[in-house]
Amino acid sequence: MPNSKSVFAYNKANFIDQLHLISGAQKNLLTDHKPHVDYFDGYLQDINALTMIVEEQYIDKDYLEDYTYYYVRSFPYYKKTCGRLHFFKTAIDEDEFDKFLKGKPSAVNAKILQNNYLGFMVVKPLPKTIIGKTCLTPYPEINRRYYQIMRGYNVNLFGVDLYVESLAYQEQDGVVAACASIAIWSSLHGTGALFQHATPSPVEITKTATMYYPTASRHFPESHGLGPEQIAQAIRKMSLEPFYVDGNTYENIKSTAYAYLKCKIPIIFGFELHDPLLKKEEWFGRHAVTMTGYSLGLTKAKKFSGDGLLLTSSRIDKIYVHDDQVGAFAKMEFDEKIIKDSKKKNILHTLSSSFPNCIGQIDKVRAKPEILIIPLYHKIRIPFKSILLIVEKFNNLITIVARTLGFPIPYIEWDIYLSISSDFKSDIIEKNLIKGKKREKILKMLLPKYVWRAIGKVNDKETFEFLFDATDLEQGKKILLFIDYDSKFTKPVLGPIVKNLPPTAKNHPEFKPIWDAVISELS
Amino acid sequence: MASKQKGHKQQGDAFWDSKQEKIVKDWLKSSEGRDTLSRIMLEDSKSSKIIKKMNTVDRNILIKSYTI
Repeated sequence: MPNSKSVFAYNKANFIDQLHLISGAQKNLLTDHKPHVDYFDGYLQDINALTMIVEEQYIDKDYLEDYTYYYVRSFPYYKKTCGRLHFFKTAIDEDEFDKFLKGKPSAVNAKILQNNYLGFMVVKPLPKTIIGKTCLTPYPEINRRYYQIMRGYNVNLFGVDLYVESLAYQEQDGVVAACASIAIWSSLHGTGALFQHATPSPVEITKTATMYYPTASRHFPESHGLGPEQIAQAIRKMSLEPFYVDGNTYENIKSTAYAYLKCKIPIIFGFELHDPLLKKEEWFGRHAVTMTGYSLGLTKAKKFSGDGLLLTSSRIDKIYVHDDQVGAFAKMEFDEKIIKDSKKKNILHTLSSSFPNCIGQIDKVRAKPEILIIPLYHKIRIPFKSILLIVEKFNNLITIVARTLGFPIPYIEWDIYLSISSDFKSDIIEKNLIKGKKREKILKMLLPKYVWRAIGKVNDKETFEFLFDATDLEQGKKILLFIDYDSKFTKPVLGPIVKNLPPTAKNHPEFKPIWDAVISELS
Repeated sequence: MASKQKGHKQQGDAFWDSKQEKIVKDWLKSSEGRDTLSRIMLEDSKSSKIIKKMNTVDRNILIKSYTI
């Protein structure tokens, strides 16, 4: 039945009513069997939603593609239009909104709507899987919480132009897309803005992914999900390169996620799910989500593999993911809990998850990480691993010299991440750590579009930086610059070591360009 | 010789001074220093061995699908 009004105070009851009216889904499904409803209600309350404006009929491109390929040929009638809910962090009076639409003097105007806009949720006219494209402003970024994969979405509500920064989310329909297709879909929304490509709909992603890697059984309705090679194929179709990282340790996940997320590149994260209540079939399946951000909640960095370098990324305590079975920006925590499986085997390195268990409780299911697949622009050739190996060797050298000679060991915390060179230059201006001719030279320097930054911090202060060319050949010299931010540290500590290296170290083919860059900066 | 100086400065103190700079230079010129440095450059540490395996594809995982 059509709505007679379009403006509602935001509360859970009104939210459920509108989901029910637009989708036609049964109310008890929404109240008792759909964890998304509780998740998004909590989320909307946390971001202070006070008003909900309902766009009763809305044509959604992604839904329309799925509809054309599959739903339209069903015997029951499914609508081709969706509805859309818009959320605002201010109370909006319906009469005033009506006057605004009718062009009468009103307390509501386009500026007020934009200043208080929190985003939208498309509601699909399906029996169960009703959460369509959803773009909501994230929780406020506080010191430790970073949502890196954000892009702008232009919205038009009854002729009013609105804008929200978010990353698109939707739940799988289980028909044309399972979790992996949706994880790819959200990721491609991020890379689409960054690398300039179109964003395919979920059904197009599933078709592409399975075209060259078909399974023995049918792909539609979707029941088999996608494997890593199929995920990789869907990424290749967009002229991007899938980059595979083994996700079997916290260190791999944290360091890799940090390195690429900081460059606004989303990551597809695959893991196995464990529900202790299921006993015999406790490992009940595999799930894929999109990594969108992280929290640097730990105060101290930890040594890589117990004896290696200190990485800023090791201070990550949580990642934020778009989980199609939970909600947008859902947290997964590196809480170091060790679980035992039914064979009493210890399973290390699991993460918490908000995935509901077999009786609907959240925070009980554990995730055992397996893979990270990163969609990269083809010119980002040098992998994180190569930079980490160079930095590890350099750090090892400084530490061992200091340790052997009994000098205070400089605890260097390394902040290593991929960056766009224009962002690097903006950062040089913003942080203002170097001045004069050196700064001018760096700002005017022609740099490749993508660079790896390895910043050495001593006592939380940025002290020096290696800048590497991310587009070089693996056998190339890679190093672009060594930048000295604090000569009180670099001159007495790095200078004597690098200038007096024995020939074996000095002429090492991989490291010679690095020593040359350091000597050139310090002389 | 050098190990006797261990612990005379703590983290957070000012870093190496000119005396220490000379000690570093001398040590790097000694055969002990040369050998240590050469070993660091040529050998893989425990963590570098782990880093090298970061992108190893696990064949057992490739055949499984993410379905839920």
